[in-house]
Formats: sequence, structure tokens, C-alpha cells
Amino acid sequence: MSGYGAILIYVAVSAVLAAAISMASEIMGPHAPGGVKRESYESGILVDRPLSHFSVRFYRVAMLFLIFDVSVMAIYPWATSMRAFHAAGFVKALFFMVVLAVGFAYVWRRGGFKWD
Amino acid sequence: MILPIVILVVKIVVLIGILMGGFAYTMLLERRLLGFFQLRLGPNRVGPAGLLQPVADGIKMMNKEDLMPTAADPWVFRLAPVVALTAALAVDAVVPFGAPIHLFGLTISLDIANPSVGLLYAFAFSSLGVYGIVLGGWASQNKYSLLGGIRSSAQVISYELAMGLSVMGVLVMTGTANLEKIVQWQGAHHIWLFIPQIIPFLIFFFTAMAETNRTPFDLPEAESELVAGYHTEYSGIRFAMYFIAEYVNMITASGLAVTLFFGGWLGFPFLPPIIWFLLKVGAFLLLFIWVRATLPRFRYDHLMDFGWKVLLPIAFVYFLGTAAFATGVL
Repeated sequence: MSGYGAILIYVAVSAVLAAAISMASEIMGPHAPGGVKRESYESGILVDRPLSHFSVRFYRVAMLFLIFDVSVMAIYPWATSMRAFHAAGFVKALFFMVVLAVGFAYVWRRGGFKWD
Repeated sequence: MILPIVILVVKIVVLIGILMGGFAYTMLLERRLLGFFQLRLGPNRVGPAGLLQPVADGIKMMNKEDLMPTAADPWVFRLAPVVALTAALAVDAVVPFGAPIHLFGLTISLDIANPSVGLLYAFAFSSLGVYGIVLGGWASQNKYSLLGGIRSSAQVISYELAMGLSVMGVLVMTGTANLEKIVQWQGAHHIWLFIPQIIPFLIFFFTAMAETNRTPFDLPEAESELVAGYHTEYSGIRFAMYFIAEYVNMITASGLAVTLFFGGWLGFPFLPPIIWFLLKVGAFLLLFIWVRATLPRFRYDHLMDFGWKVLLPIAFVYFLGTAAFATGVL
């Protein structure tokens, strides 16, 4: 069993187990419908329509997160093989790091992380 | 051909057994310790010293009525806890619990597999756990649940960059992302990586607390403001599954911290390697519980600022310093 096959089997077993566990209450628990027990938990005030729109104020931070997270992913292989590159490789890749750092500083200065 | 399959099946059963047992008794330990922290006894009635409490809880949870609000999205509502638990269990496939053992002329490593991208795999799956929380919060169609789910997504974009960068120094020093080789490197060089990497380790530990939704970063749950956050509407075993996921995540985060920074299974020879690993994980779990008993909760815009403006720059600079040192520039 090579690595990824084993992982796939393990994840599949975990998923099946989780799905099986999640059915336990539906199968074993009592079924006594009625009353107000299926209303949304609320302070007594009935909400006539379900929530559909909600303003997520930090959407800009979320987009910045995507950009920087992809960049960080690009650093992983470089970090792993760092010792093979020696000083020359480090200095060259430093250029990429500087671009990232300048971008980060620019976003910070322009208030990209303010959202309230 | 048949032997590797048997070994794999045994490994899967044992791993899931360890995680489930670990969940049950970490939870009991936490409830007892929190009791002592708060000058009360905690659950001590079921079995000797309360040791059968997890069993009683499990049976009780399974026999509760399963309630779903009429407003909820039925399939997503059912799916969300399954996603949370699957993601939590999946991460542990790559965490090595002990040194490889030799049996029947075969070398058996004590993890499901150790791919060369082990660390990335662990991070990828631990991030997927957030979907369980966000989907559960959204599908409940309750304002407290929705707020909890949104906070969870706010949290993930706050800490994850810092977490990704905090382990970069380990990759630079060991030259691999394979968790087993990282431990072997620490053995070969007679140093645990938290010594040269103490600041990244602290960043990793903070972000791991955020990842597992533990106090002081338990914003998605936040009992005192959001009722119970994302699992307000859940009952019975589905409610319990979120707790299983949280505790399994805690064990995983401890396991990763031990593997990356504290020499994994390495220790003095009077105890077998797996015992050392479990002891170190146990120490981290105690730390998690202690922190919960001590600290109040962050506000989530504070967490966002803390992640982006404090942890991220420090992790980045420390990583560059490690890289410069490793390549001989400094």
C-alpha cells in the first residue's frame, strides 16, 4: 500500500464512520414532534423569514488572505530545498520576498485591514 | 500482498481507537480539571473517580431526540458535523506516533502514511474543518449560528497565514516536509527544534489554539454572547460530533506541535518511543486546558489585527532570518 492509497482509504473510513455516528440519534432517539421545539432558538420573537443576506464586513481582508496565502504556498517548496540553493538561491528568492513585503506594507498603510 | 492490507487495517482501527479514546478522556480530564480550577469537584459520580462518565455521556447523546429547526437546510444541516469530524480525523493520517517498528521482516511506520508533503497535507485537512463550522452555522438559519459561522471564517483568515509561515523555519532547517523525517532530523542532530525556533513555536501554538477554537479564541462558540454559536440548533449526537471534532483537533494540534518542535517520539530509552510521544501530547493537552481556565476571550477584530499585524510579520522575519542563517548569508 503506497502512501496516498492508504490515506485515501483512511479518509474514506473516517467519513463513513462520521456519517454512521451522525445517524445515531435519528435512529435511537425518541421522535416526539409537536410544541415549539422545531422553531429557531430565539428570544421569543418569531423571525418570519430566514436569514438570507448578511453583510460580511471583512470581505476585503478575506480577498487579501487569498492573495497572500497563495504566495505563502509558493514559498513552501523553496523553503524545503533551501539548503541546496546556498547563498545565491537565497538572495535571488529574496527579491520575491521583498515584493511580497512591499505589497503587504502598502496594503497595511492604505488601511486594507480596517473593516469596522 | 495480503500482509500490507492487514497492517493497514490494524493501523486504521488503532488510530481511530486512540483518537476516540483520546477524545473521551481528554474531555473528562478537562471537565475534572476545570472543576478543580474553579474550586469544585467536576463529574465524579459515574464509575470510579468519574472514569465512566464519557460512556454515560455517549449513551445519553445517542438516545436524545434529534431536532432540526423547520427553517434549516436539511441536507447541509446533516452534512456539516460529518465534514467537521471527517476533517478532524483525516489530519492524523500523517502524524507519526512512534519510531518505525520492525515486525515479520517488515518496517512498519506508526502512521497511516508519510508522504513527502506530510505537513501540507495536515494543514490542508485541518483547514477543511472550518467548512463543518461555517456550513453548520449557515444551515441552521439562526442568527446566533450564522454569527458563529461567520466568526469562524473571520478567524481562519486571521491566523492561517501566520500558522503557515511559523513552520517555514522547520522546513528550512530540516529540508523536508515529511513529518517522520523531521523527527529523525531532530534525533540525528540531538536538538529539539523549539530551541532554535522558539518564537515560531509560540506563534504556532497561538494559531493552533485559534484553529481548534479553544479559549481565548473560541469566538465561533462564545457562549456568553452567541448562546452556543454555530451549534446552537444542534442536538443529540450531531451536537456531540462537534465536540468530538474539537477534541480530536486538539489532539492533532498537540501531535503536530510535538512532531515539529519537540522531537516527536524521541526521548530517553527507558520508555518506548510511542509512550514518549503520548506523554508529550498529554503535556500539550494539559496546557490547552490550563489556558482555557485562565484566559478570557478575544474580540474577533482584535484577533484579526493580532494575526495580520503582529504574528504574520514576526513569523515572516524570523523565517527569513532562519533562511539567511541556513544558507550562510548571515
